[in-house]
Amino acid sequence: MEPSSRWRRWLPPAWVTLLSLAIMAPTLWPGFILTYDMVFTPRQSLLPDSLGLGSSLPRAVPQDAVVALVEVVVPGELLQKAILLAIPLLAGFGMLRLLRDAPLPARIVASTLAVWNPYVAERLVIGHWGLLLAYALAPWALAVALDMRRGRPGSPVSLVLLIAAGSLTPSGSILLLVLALPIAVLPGSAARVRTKALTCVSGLACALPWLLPAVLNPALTNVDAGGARVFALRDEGMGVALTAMGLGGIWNADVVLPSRAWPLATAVAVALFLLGTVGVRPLARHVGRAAVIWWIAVAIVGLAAAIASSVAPSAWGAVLDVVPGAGIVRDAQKLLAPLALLVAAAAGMGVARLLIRVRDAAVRGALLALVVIIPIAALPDLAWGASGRLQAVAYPSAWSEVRDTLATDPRPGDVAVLPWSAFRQFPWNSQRTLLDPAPRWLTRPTVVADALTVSTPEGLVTISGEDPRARAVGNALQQGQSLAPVLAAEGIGWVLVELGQRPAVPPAALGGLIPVRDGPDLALYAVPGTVVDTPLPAYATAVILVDALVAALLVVLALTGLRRAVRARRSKERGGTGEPLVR
Amino acid sequence: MGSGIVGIIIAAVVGAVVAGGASFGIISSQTAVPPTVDAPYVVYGSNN
Repeated sequence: MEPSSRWRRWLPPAWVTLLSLAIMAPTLWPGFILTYDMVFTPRQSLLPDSLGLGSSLPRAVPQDAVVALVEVVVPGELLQKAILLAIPLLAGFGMLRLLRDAPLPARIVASTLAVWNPYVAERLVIGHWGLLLAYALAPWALAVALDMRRGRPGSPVSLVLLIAAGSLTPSGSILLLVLALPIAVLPGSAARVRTKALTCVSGLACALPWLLPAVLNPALTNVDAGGARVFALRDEGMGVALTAMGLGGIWNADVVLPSRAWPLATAVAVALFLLGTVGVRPLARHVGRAAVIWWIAVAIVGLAAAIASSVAPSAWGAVLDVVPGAGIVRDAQKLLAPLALLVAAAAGMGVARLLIRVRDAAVRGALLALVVIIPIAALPDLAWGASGRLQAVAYPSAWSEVRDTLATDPRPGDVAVLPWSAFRQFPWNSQRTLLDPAPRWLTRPTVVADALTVSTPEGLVTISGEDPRARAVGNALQQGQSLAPVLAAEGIGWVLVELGQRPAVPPAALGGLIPVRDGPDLALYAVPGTVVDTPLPAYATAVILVDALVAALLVVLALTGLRRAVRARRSKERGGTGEPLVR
Repeated sequence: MGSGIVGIIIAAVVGAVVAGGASFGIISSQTAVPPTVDAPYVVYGSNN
């Protein structure tokens, strides 16, 4: 092999690996990375809530169930590190796979932009790893959808498995279903009608584990429409449109990296958009006209919706109110994922198109380096675990002690968690805001505060939760009375108090409870007279049956794909042709 | 100019920027202060 050919082959994967490590290296230290919605524990239990059968809305379904099952064999700490490192690696390598026949500059630039952008940065800090996993799998799903379009055998199975892997959360599931599946089956696809139909049905089936409990859960009707305004795209100082086009604008200012306020961020947003415009035509030649048109259409709808959430919040709120289940996308900046990938791929192709006109290899190389460096230099604080925001920490031993107590104590009932707030700020986690880890630590279902308080220009706004049991506990707390009778009536047999957290627990609330543990870090009380009469909801059988069927389908598909891969390998060894995953 | 020298220059410049980014990140991580809390309870975030 020629040295230059070897160099060209290894540079893109080596570059993606370097970028991924530059972001994720601190997450590989021992401990858990606990930030906002990202909560991992050593060993999560499979509970009714994990399948969407609890009293709250299934927002992390089937994510929690999958994590609980994987943690039977893989420790939670290791699983979290693997997932976090996999996100940039998958996004970058996926872009290399999607553009595998494109010129080297296109592949380098596209993979850089897919890994290193404000969308990834903001979603990482807020802890939406399930969505980011789907984002990272999207280029792979697009590549496989294009294979299916070209009639390549085995691609329908791969596409369904990729959609399944990205369907840990509702938003990730929707991203892959809307972006990739139609490309595989749009007019012009070489796949047979039967294959298209089976792929569509199987792909949509991957959404059932979250869709079914969401539709059947009566809590769906309790969704607070006020969330649309609070979780709308937020102007990061460059105007709403440029913020969205620059892939930033998450609702929460506290997770936005400081470099987003730099003028360079605006300049890069504009430049990448222009480069993307130049690259659309070569991208269309590479992936096909129909695929690009669909990709652009999805990206534009996402961009328009994200902008609308900010400039016309009332109208956006009305849409979310009217369309059943649309509340899933009330956090509208999520919808920029297809645009983020499109800008990466098209800007990459645009750079290659422009560089081809430069004759001098040295100038060409220098310009490429510049194009790669500038987006990184415009967002340098994504490096090193988003400037230390993703820092590994150890839980105090109290957590595993309480878990053991609740796992072994014969007294029945679920666990109410106090103080009555959905989020925590622990000193051992550098006071970072964190979703209460109790539901993922304990072996019993928990009842936690599910109302979200957000600071807005109009003052503090509380988005009410959906869980009726949480509402009953919250009301009792407000009235300043002992919680014991309410808890007993709701089938709650235990109260966990996370010490040192706000708001202070009124002493009267704990009146009548039996102390079991009193610190450090955690206190535990038993509720006398709890009668456990909280059967699974009527739709539980249907949900469990559908989950089992989907799991069986995926196992069959995985085995089919594996058999095909083994056969292809053997054929290659015998002298046939085989295609590497990343060229 | 040979392609080897160009490669070395590019690698040096890109490496310097990534190293600079990482240093920036490390320094920021040591000096970052958690957002101030303006409520008696923990707020999810701020869209101010």
